[in-house]
Amino acid sequence: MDLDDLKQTFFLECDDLLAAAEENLDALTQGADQAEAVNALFRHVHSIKGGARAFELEYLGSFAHAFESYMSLARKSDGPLGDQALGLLFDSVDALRLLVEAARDGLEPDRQRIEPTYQVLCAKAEIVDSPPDEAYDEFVPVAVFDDEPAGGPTSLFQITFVPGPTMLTSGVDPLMVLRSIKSLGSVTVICDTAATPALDAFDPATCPWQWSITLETTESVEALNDIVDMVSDLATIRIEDQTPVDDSANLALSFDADASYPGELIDLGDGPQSRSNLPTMSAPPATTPLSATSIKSAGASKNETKNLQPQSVAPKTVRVEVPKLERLGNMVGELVITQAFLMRQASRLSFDENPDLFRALEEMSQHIRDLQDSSLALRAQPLKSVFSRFGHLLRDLEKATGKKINLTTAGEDTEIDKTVVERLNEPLTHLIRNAVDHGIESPDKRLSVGKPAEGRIRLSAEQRGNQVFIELADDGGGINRERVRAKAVEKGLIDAELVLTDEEIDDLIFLPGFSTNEAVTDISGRGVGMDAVRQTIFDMGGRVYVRSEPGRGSRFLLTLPLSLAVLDAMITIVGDQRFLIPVHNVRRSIRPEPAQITRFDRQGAMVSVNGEMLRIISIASEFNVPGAITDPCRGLLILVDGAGDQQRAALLVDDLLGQEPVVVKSLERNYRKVPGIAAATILGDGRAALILDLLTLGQASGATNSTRQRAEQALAASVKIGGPSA
Amino acid sequence: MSWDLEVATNPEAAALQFIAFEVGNDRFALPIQHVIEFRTWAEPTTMPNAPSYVRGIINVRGEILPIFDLAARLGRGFTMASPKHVVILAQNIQGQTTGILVDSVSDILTVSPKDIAALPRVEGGEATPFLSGILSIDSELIGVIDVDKLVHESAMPALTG
Repeated sequence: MDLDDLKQTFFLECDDLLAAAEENLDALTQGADQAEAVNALFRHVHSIKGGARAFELEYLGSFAHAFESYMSLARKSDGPLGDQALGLLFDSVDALRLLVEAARDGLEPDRQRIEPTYQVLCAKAEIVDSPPDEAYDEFVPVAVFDDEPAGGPTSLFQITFVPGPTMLTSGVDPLMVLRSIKSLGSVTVICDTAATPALDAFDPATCPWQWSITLETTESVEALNDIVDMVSDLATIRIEDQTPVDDSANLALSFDADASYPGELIDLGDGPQSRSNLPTMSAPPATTPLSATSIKSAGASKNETKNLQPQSVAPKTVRVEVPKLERLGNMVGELVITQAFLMRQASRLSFDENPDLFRALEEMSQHIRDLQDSSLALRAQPLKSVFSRFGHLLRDLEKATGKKINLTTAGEDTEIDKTVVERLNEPLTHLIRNAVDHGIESPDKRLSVGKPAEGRIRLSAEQRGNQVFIELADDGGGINRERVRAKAVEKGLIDAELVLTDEEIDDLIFLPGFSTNEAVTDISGRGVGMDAVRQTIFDMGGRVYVRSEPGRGSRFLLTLPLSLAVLDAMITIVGDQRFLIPVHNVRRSIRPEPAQITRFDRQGAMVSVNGEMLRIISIASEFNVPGAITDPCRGLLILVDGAGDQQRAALLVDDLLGQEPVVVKSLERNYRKVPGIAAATILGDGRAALILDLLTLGQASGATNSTRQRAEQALAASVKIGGPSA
Repeated sequence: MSWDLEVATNPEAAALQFIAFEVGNDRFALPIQHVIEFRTWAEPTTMPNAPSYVRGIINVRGEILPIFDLAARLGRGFTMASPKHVVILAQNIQGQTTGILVDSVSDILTVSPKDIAALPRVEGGEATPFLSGILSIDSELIGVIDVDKLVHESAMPALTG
C-alpha cells in the first residue's frame, strides 16, 4: 500500500467521520447531552485534522484546527449553546465536508463558501495565525484505531515463539498459534526469517522461522498460558510481562520503533499494524533487539487513541472496494441465472426417479437465495446517511425564507443499495427546497387559513417487496393547478385546448424547462428542475409520483428498486428475437378479441380493457423486427404500467416464453444508451438479450394526426412527461 | 502501459507490433496492445435503434459487447458474415471493449517506427476518419485503425472543403 492508498483510506474515514459528526449535530438539536455531543464532535474533527496534517492538506488542516479550537472554548462554557453557536457548528461541518471533498477530488476548495465560516471560527477561537505547531504534538494518524478491549487493566506481553522441528509434521500450524494469541488482544507480530535456509536446503517439513509477538491484552497471563500449553511439547514459547508502569511518555513513535524491528510484519487482519499499513517492509533489517521504546510507545499510542475514538464503538467493519463488491454481485447474479436454468432442465425429469437430485436442487436454491440476500446486504446502506443531512438544510431554508418548518423523518433505517443512497441526496434536497419554497406558506398566511404557523414536512421510507418507497409530504398550499397549466401553455409545453385530469396537470411540473416560480429565488429555481429529479430517479430504475390537494399539501412518492443488479423479467418473443420486460411493470397479458381493438391510422391502434383505452405499442414496429405478428388479435398484449408516469399501455409481442430473474448488464459500459432499451442481460443459453425501457419506448412513435387526436395528445403529453428529454 | 514503457526504455526493442487483417481487398492494422482476442463470427443479438454498422451485441464472459461491421463502418457495404469471418475484440482508451467484424486476420506485423507515416493532411478517402496512421511495408500501405474514432459516435466520414 502506498501513500495514495493511505490517502484514499483517509478520505473514506473522513466520510464516516463527517457522517458521524452530522449525526452528532442532529442529536444536539434534538436535545442530546451537550457536553457529550460536543466532545464526540471534537474527536471527529480532531481525527480529520490529524489526517489532513499527515497528508499535508494545509487548508483542511488549518480549518479543522480552527474548528477544534472553537469547540475547545465551547466545551469550557457551561451554558447551553445558543442558536448562533449551533449554526456555526453546522456551517463548520459543512465547510469541512466541502474541504474534504475538494481534497479528495484533487480540486481547489471553494474558498468563497468556506472562508466566511473560517474567519468566524478564527475570530471566536481567537486564533491569530494558524496553524500553531503545537498541533503537531498531538497528531496521531487516523488509521491506527483498533477496537479497544473492554474493561480490565491492560498488560503487555513480549512473546517469543520458536517452533520445534516436529511442529509441522505433527500437523500443527504456527499460524494457529499466532491466531490464538491474537484472539486475546491486539498484537504486533514480527517474523524472524534469519534462519531461512537456501532454497536447495529447504525442508518443507520443518519451520525455520521464529516469531516475536507483542501482545496487548486485558486478559490474564493464564489465558496466554492455556495457549502455550497446547503446543508446549512442539515449540519453545517464552513470555515476558512488560506492562509499563507509566506509559504516558513517548507518544506515537511506534512507527519508527517498528521500522527497526528485524524481519517482517505479518498481517493478521486487524492488529494496529496492519491497519496502519506502514512501509515497514522496505525498512532495512536492523540488528536492534526488541527495544523498550517500541513497547512503551505501543501502550502510549493506544492511550492516545482512546481519547480520539468516538464513544459509541462502531461495529467492526472491513473496507472493501466497490468493484470487488460488484464482481461478487455479478457472480451471484450469474449463479442465480444458472440455477434458474438448472431448475428448468430438472423440471423435465421425474421426481420419483430422482428424489435426491431434487432435494439437492431445492437445498441449493435455498443457499443461492441466502447468498443473494447476503450479497445484496453487503451493498445496502441505511437511508439515515441521507436523511440526517436535511436537518441542517431546513435550518438554512428557515433562515432564508423566514418560514417555520418542522421536519419529521421515519424509516431512516430502511436499507437500500449504496449507489442509490449516494445519488438520492440531490433529488431529495431539491424536493425539500421545493416544498419549503413553493409548498409551505408564510406563517401569516398559514395562520389566516387556520393552519399552525409552523409548516410540517414529513420524510419517510419503507421497504415493500423488492422496492423502497420514499415519501416526502408537506402540509403547504399544494400545487396551484391553474397556474401550472397556464405556465405549461405559455411555455409551449402543452396545447391550450388539451383536456387534462388533475393528476396530469400535477405531472406537468416534471416537464423539462418547467418552473412556476417567476422570481428565481436563491433556494430553488437554480436550474435543477423537477425534471432532473425525475430523471435521476428514473436512471436508478425508480419512479416519482406526485399527489396534491389544493390548500392541504403535496406528497411526492419515490419508488426505488432495492438492488440495481438483479431484476425479475418476462421474456417475450418478437419475430426471432427476445425482449425482456421488467415484471414490476407488467399488470397482465391478454389475447384480445377483435371487438376490443380500435384502429386510428395505419400504425396506431388502441385496445379497450375493462373500459380503459390503452395504446398498443408494437415492439416489432418500434424496433423494426421482421417476421413478427402485427395483428393484435393474433399476438399477445402485455399490459404494462410505467410507460411514462401515469401511462398504461399494451405491448404487442408474439408470445411469452416465461419469467426469470436476470442480471442487469450495462449497455453503456461498452456501447452507449439506446432509446427504448434499459439494459442488456444474458439468458440461460448464454446469449445476450435486451431489457425494454418502457419510459422511452414509444416516444419516437408518438402519434400525430389521428382520428382520436385528443386522446392521443393526452397520451403524448404524458409520454413527454414520463420520459427523459430525448 | 507496460508495453509502451518497454518501447520507450529499450531502444533495441523499439519496434511496434500490429495485428493485420483484411476487409474486402484492403489490409488494415490495429496496434497489438489494443487487441484482446479473436473470435469467430456468431450471429449476435440484434440491437434496435442502432446505426446500421452495429451488427448487434454479444456476451463475452458476462460482458455485453457491441459488434461493429468494419466494412459497413467504412461505408463499403455490409459484410456477408459467415463462421469464417473474425471478430476482433479491441479495447479503446476508456477501457470499452468493442467487437470488430473483419474478413480475416492475416498477420502480426513488427514495424520499425520509421515505417509509420502520419496521415496525409487532406484526404477525401472514406477510411481516414478512423485511421491513426499508415504503415508502409514492402511498398504496401496499411491503414492503422483508431479504435476510439471507430467507436465514437461523432466520427463521421469527413467532408472535404
